[in-house]
Amino acid sequence: MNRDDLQDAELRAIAQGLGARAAERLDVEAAAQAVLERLRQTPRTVHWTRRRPVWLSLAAAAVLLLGTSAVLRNVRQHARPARGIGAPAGVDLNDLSPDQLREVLSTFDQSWEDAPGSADTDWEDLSAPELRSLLRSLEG
Amino acid sequence: MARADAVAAAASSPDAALIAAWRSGDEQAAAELVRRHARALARFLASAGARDADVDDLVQETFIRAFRAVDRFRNQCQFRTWLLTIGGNVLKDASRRAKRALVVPLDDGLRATDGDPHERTVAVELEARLQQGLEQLPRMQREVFLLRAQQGMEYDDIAAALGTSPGAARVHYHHAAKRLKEHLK
Repeated sequence: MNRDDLQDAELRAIAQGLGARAAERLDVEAAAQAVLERLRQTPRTVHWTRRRPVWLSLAAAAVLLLGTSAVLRNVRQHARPARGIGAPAGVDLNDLSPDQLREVLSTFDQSWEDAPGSADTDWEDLSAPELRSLLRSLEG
Repeated sequence: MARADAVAAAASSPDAALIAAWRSGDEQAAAELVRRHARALARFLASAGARDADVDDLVQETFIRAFRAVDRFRNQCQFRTWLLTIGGNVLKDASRRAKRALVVPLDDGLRATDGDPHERTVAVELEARLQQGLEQLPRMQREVFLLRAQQGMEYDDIAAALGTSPGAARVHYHHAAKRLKEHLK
């Protein structure tokens, strides 16, 4: 054979001869039975994809939404500038009677309890000027 | 008698019907697919570099993998083409594990007595050199060449099985053929 002129057809012919001995030697029926035996020993695993139920996805989304909104609300509240405590808008403390001043103070119980020095002060006993002074100090 | 009927029925079924039957648990369908494609697979594996002594095990392993993964076969190509590409993966894994040179011993071929001894010797020499050339090719070129030249597969089929385009498969084939011709000079 002139190997310089090796053509595709010749190359294919040689390729088709490759592995012929291995193929002839193979005991096909024995191979089939061996494959079946091995398949029986290790049964085929069922390939299934775990699908998340729709309700679970929806519930997760709802929880996420509620959680996010709660966090946002909280952040917004903390970010809001602290409003001073004081009398309703448009009301001059000087115009209020002692009872009215006490009433205003009573609406801010929590703030009053947190105010410095409040623990040892009973505002029920305070005079009108003292109440006004207290309210102004709480206004910051 | 019932088994013989089942075997006969399987033998006359196309691959697609056998695959469908195996999917629903018919063992005879699987056995018939082995009978039908085992020799072609053995030739492919031996040509791709498997030692003769390993071919039997590699054939079995390839069928096991194919039957276990049969849900992934969607008639994108012929069953045989798909099977041979799985065989290529099995061979690659085996040679990686064994870390040994995969060569075809020449003496078995030289002992063959059929035909003219001189012609037979020349043919065996050419096959051995082609085998060496194949082993030097990149895996994709080697598999495309064998699927096309040895197994007679169409480029479309080869491309579908190997996850490439028919044009790319054609290019791989021509590169492989060119290098093999150089090797055989």
